[in-house]
Amino acid sequence: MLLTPENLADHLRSDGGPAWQAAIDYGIDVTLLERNLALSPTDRMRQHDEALRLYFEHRR
Amino acid sequence: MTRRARPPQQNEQLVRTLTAAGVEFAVIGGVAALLHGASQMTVDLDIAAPFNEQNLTRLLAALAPFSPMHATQPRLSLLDEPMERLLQFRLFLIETTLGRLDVLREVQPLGDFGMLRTIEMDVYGIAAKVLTRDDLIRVKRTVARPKDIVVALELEAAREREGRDEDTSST
Repeated sequence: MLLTPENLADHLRSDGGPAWQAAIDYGIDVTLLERNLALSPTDRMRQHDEALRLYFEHRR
Repeated sequence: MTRRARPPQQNEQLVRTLTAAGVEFAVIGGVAALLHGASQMTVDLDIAAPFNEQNLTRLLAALAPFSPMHATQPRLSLLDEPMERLLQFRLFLIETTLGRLDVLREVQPLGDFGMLRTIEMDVYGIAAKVLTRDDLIRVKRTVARPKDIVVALELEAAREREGRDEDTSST
């Protein structure tokens, strides 16, 4: 199936249980969550460190 | 009064510094959520620690090179406080040159450091104690600010997803 913005939410819902669906219903982007879960804890922190670096650079 | 500009948050250096000094602590809060897979950005490092003289002495020694100041009283260094007084605190909100570090004696609704369930995670190559996902969900559900609800929902979804994956891999 070709994923489009219109059918993406339905596709994501069909792929999870009630907690997964509750997150989608609340507006959480579960694709980010799915990507994070595929990373190691250190890689999750490195990704966040890079976001922090950009955040503080922008504040300067 | 002029506040000093906030330096970039350096979580890796903070974790390394505390670990190298032998400080007993567990990562809690937003960074623990990140380590469990949540995606919400956080600009400080929260830890829980035993508030006894030995541990606080190690904490202060570790932070001494990084100008630890009370975040709520930017002119007041933690290093100038007598130990007897520090032992009375419920938490420290610390600005350092490595960024913000919040140290909690107790985590509601779980209790003090001894009551926390932690797991050991490899973080930056360091074996660090991190609050378990289930305990973190309890904390986030208890605090229940909008941003905590988002994290709780993410962690609950992650728990469900990983449970499913474990079931799949075991069949």
